[in-house]
Amino acid sequence: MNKVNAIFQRLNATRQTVPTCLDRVLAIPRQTLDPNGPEATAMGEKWSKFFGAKGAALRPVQGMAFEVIAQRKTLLGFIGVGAGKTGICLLAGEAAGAKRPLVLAPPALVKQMTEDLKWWSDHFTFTPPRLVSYGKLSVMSGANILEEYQPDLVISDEAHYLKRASSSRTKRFLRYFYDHPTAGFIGVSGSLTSSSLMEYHHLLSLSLRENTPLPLSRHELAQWAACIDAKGEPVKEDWSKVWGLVEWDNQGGFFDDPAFMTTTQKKERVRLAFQKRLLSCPGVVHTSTFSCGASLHLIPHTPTCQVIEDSLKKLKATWCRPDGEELSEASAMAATAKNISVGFYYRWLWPDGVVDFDWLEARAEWSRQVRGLLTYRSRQGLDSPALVEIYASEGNGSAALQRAWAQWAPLKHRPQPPKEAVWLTEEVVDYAFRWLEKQTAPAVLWYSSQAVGDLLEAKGVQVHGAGSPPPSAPKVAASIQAHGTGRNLQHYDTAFIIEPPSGGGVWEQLLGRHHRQGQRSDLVSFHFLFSTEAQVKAIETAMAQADYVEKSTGVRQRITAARLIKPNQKGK
Amino acid sequence: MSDFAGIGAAPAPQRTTEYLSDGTYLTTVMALKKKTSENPRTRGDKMIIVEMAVAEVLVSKEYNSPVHQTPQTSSQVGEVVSCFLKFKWFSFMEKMKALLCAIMKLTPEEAANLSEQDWVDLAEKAVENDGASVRGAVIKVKAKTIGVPVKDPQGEFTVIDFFLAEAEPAEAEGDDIPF
Repeated sequence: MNKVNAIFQRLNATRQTVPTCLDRVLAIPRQTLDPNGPEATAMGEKWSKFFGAKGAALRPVQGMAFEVIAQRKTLLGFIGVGAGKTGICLLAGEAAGAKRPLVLAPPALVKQMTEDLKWWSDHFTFTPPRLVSYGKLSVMSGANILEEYQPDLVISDEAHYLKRASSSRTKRFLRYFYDHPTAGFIGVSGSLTSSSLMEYHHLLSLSLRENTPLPLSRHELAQWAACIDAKGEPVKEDWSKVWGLVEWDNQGGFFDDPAFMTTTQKKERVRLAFQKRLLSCPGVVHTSTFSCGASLHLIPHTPTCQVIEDSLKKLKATWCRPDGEELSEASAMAATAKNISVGFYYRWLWPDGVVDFDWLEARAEWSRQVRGLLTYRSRQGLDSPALVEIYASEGNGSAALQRAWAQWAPLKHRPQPPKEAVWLTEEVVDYAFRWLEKQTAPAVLWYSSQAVGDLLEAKGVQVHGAGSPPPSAPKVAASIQAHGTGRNLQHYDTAFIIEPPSGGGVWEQLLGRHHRQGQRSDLVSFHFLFSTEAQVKAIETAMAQADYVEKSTGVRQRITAARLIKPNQKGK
Repeated sequence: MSDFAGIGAAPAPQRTTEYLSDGTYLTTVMALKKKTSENPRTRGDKMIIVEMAVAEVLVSKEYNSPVHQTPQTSSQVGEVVSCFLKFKWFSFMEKMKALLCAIMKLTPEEAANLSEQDWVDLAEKAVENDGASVRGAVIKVKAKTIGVPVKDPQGEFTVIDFFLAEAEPAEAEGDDIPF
């Protein structure tokens, strides 16, 4: 052992001191700018003057954002729902002095943003940026959209649309920045992350550059994620990599000794320390209050229905749908349980009742191959399912891809069998329908399944599904997917969610449709179904994700801030 | 028994002056980790991950990969690169020994004078705490981009940076040799 020690001593005398990832993160300068302080107000006034405001003023948080953009040409904005993201996106190009600014926005918002642009042009002086929807970036024809326009500043509204690194649009977006590292990136969102650090580390790196408060080493990033994420399962070694953040935060003293803390307590402590590090990084702007002062009530409803209870019990015990079809995957089981909770299930209508196994198997294998190729080996010109199809049809790719294509090519023209909703009972939908009928003020029924929308329409409710304009009538039903994001629905203060979503981000967006600036009522009430295990689990998951977002990014989440009350306690 | 039990009996690296010397990069060791693979295909495989920061590009390469038909370029100064050595590889112990020689700057004489137990201790101590005791050591590394299509009939293999203990002959520089 002496020889070994001598070798290490000799090495110690010559090796350099290398800062670790944590050292770099802790060495990032600390910025102390309060979005509610007088400095922010002054910035709002300064930038209102800069843009030649006519009868309108910028908000303090917008002023802060433009100050950062003017200095750095990049920004990461944790800006809550309804807190002024649109203004930042439209005016950012002018503030940064960009020549070719481009705004990326969700497809549903581009039209609204185009309309908003008129208002902003009337009240402020600036060169309008080019608007492109994320949808255009996803499709085959949009593969070179960024390369063709060559923006020197990309502004991403609702930047969480770029969080999935395996999607075509994110790959194309990231590739543009690899090729044009000097282009600036501005990302704003109220729900940039929903469950994991891994979702947005690339957006952090692009917008904060040298000030990224996350490890650049993938392995160390995974260790941080294990300690901070909603579903992270850290081991002892992971804590040792991230606990330096808590020591840096230096708030707790004696009670911050990890030896005396449970995993939950340690997670909470690390999340708070990470939040402070993240929000104090130069280049980050955040809002910590809601844009709406109204109280928010969440009111669970627990109607009982024997048919649903029995069907769910049978499903859980046998993994068989009510029509006898066996389910093989947990995801199919969860989806079926969610649907049965409302009273129906989906089945495919095969022609003459004959299941086309050849088509099913060929499709599954082809999808598996495409997924594998896009996840691990995609590149420019080969980053979407349609492009993979062309690639394979020209005889390229691995033997396995070619085998899958050979099976799928002759069958792909066969139409997908129509999906049919089979209703076990309409009691739950009737319950929601009766609730809507009873309302005296404008109210919305939120649903997510097409089958529920169709049934409500059959019962005479005005339904706003995909492709329809935003709801405006006093009593309506609206699809969460189609209208749960980006819509200004503050003229409603009461809503009922028939199918409660399990995503914390989806809840935040949905609650923010009514609980937003411009809401005249003092109280916004959200009723939701809370009867079955699937519905309870969905709420629990959403709460856990919202807790993670709130603790790690500092953006207040409506679902955790809302008051949960029983139906008989409700004031309205 | 230590995972490195066989390292002392591994053949000595063949070079006579410096180990890993005829490389492409001058790198700084950032970490030396002993891990178990969690990749679904290789779950359970034990490996050593060497993480390095590129300090200087000694030989820069730019060429077309026959496997991927896309241009490959050398890593740049400042990039953190990593490569792995798997315990199940036939030549693992030899490569590990070479790596330790390079990190510790051992002369062939010093290497020859170490007992089998010394080698085990050296390796165990080097990977302790993710290689905290070797962090900052400067080594020369030759990284080769290779394609490994034979072992996996499912498809093309991801391009990897492969860590070579022994130097390639100078005339092979720039060649892209399939594994």
